[in-house]
Amino acid sequence: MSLAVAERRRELSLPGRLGRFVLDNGLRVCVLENRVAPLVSAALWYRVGARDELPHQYGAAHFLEHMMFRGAERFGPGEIDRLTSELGGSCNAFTSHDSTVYTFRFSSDRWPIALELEADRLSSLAIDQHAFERERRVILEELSMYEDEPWDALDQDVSARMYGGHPYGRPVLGTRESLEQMTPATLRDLMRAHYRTDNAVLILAGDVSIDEAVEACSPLAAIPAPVEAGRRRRLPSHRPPKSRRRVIRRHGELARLLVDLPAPTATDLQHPVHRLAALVLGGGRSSRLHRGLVEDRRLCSWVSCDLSESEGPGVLTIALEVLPGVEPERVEDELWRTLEALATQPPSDEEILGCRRMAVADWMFAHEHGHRQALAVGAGEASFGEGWAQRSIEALVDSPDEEVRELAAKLGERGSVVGWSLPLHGAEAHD
Amino acid sequence: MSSVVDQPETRARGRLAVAVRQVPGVAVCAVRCYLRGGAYAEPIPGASALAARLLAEGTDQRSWERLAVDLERRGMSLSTQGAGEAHGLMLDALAVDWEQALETVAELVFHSTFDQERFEWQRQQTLAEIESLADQAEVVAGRAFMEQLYHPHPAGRLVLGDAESLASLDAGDCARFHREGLERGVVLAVAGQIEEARVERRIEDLFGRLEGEIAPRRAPPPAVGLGARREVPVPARDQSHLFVGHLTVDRAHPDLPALEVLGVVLGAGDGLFGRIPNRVREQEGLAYSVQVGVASGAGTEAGRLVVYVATADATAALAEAAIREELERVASDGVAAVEVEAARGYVLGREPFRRETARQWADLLAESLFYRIPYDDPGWIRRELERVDVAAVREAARRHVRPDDLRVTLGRPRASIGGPGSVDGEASRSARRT
Repeated sequence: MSLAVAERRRELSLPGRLGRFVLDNGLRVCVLENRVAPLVSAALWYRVGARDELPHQYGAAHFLEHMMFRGAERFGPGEIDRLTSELGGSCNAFTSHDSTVYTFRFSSDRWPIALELEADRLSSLAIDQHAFERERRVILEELSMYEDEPWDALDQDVSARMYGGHPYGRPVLGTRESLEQMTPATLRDLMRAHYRTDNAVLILAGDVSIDEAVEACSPLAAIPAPVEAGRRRRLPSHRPPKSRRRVIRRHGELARLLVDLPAPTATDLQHPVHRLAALVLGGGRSSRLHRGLVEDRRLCSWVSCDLSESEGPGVLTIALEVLPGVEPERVEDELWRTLEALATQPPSDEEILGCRRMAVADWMFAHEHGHRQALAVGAGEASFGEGWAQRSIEALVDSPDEEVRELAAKLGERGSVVGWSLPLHGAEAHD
Repeated sequence: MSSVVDQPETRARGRLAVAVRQVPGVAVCAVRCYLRGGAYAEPIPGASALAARLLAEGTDQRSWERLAVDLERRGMSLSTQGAGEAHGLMLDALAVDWEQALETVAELVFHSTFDQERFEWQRQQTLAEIESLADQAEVVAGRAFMEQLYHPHPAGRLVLGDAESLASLDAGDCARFHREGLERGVVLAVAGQIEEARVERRIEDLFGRLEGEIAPRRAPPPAVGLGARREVPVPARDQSHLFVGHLTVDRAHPDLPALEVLGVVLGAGDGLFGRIPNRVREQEGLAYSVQVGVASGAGTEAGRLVVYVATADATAALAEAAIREELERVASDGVAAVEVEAARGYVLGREPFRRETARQWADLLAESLFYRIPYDDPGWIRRELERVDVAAVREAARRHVRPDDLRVTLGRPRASIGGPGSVDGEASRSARRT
């Protein structure tokens, strides 16, 4: 590790002071006190996602997330959006395979309302049939949107092939069929099983102290503790592909390639090594793939390489858009050649050091925002273990160069899923 | 606006306007440098965007490759931008590298070589990007709507240009356009964990040469538009993309604060609060994506009232009728005092969110300098909004929401309107490489 990186390592801590407490009902609360801006971000993290759904529930975790904005006992339909807006705040939510997360952002003189809203919908959500039907139509439109978006549609096809019967291979939104068959009772069952105070973590980040947080948590503290012990099913094992599998779909006028390679879970010691390898491959214009496919051969207009962060088996994803007039086969050949060349022309010390610096800078920019700080803490507390945000970047700084080279040398040998989105025109020739 | 600062260039000298601000928090800094002009001033469509891209393609001191390695290995992130009113670059760096960041920006602005071979490569990539955009249904419909509102003003066309215009450009055109941009004036904003006085001194060294008078901008043709309604084919399976609206006001218009509040009443804020999202999504369940703006894109040229909805082709007419009804209602019946209070609360409450990070501050400072409006001063913004009462919002709705003058673009799945032989071939040509 160079001196420069060592110096920057001192800056690698989330700004502010982290404190924790647990309510009597089991809800864990983390407070990242950081008085830089007069803002507070709240993220309530439920440990339930698409992976927890039973076959008749596919899409229910995401559907329930939508219904959580449809009104409860104290704050009725539309009230969450209305109150949040009136107070100049913002609210949102997202569902992944592992988690469902609800977020609020407010000025620091009014943020406790977020916890009143959360407590109300957790304890008394109404899932009215009429509202349920309307929201089903909204979600079907959301599904159409993703189906028409070339990258989202390709990504879903590739994930399905990569993960096979594993829950990560299922679309978080469900399918048209599963959504059509769903009833309010499906959502109530899922909620009862997983929306429990002892299955959630609340993160508060920004202009807030532990004492202020304790006081503001009183509406959540008033929710009784669950009577029965909850249990989350373990993720089933996953056998990544040993060979190269292929997926082809048709859309639009441009060829797009998305390749998934198996990668470790976010908590695996090899994850930071993969992160560095991903940067060697696709981190900016000086990366191997950009130079090889974009600049030297002029086959693509851009290329990227990303690494997923999940509780279960992850993926390293390479994505690119082919220049008009270039044969897709040529691009794929060149891609594999570039990967295989990592064995004979391993990343140099300087190359790896550059990637380390890039990762450190990315990490700092990513955590500049209070909201992002809350999500980083939340991901750790709910999914990857306390202090994960910090540990993961420190592990990256400490990863030995030799491990990066060893990993890079073998990437091209891994099984994979190769997904092509090919132009509609000329379909016969390609098929 | 009523209190637009006529001469805020107290921080400016010659052709350079500068703003520097220390921002506590994470040890990073952000530099923004924009040259006035942009696509509205370009002689050939695409010149501004390509001039911006060529700023990262090599200088008389470093090749594109050397630049990429030098910047990326310091963890710096460089992006270039060709927009309607400016072209320029954005550089984010760790605070410890603030000086290298400034030196790099000066090198790119003053010493880019605009090499012909790099130009040709960038042109080829730009053509691919135009083709890529044509695969996205929302973008295709959105571009057709912009053309419908602004044609023949340059805001009505893609900033990237099109195949024909790009073919007629060369590297010399881009170099010339960039030099003219330096004559039209430069805005430079720096924010982050920095010492303001040191940064200002270094800026003086690096950019002090921008002395002399600001050159006037080429005036673009006025916006006329292309009729009341158009349908365009989009690459979608069964979802239509509906845009409804008309031109409104520019940034300096005194009604803009009232329109901003009106926009929130209609649904321009975050979440699903507002009349139109509430009606279209919450009550009728017609769409997932609903977006509203009342002066979207307002700059030195007029912005636009725009409502965007993505909905099934079969329900597009229902969505359009709902939007029309809501716009007619706000124009004829106005708004309630309670709505105005809530919307104003939203706009005021959002202010601190715009000033949280170094990058946000750099953007805000650049915007303030560019439009000569003190967006960076929260006190000024508060005063402007506190003047907005229910009467002002009603009057703004009456003046600026014109239900009888709505323009409608409906992007429909190709299969719904007869395949490639579109109802409106012009629109598809404008957004696709031919």
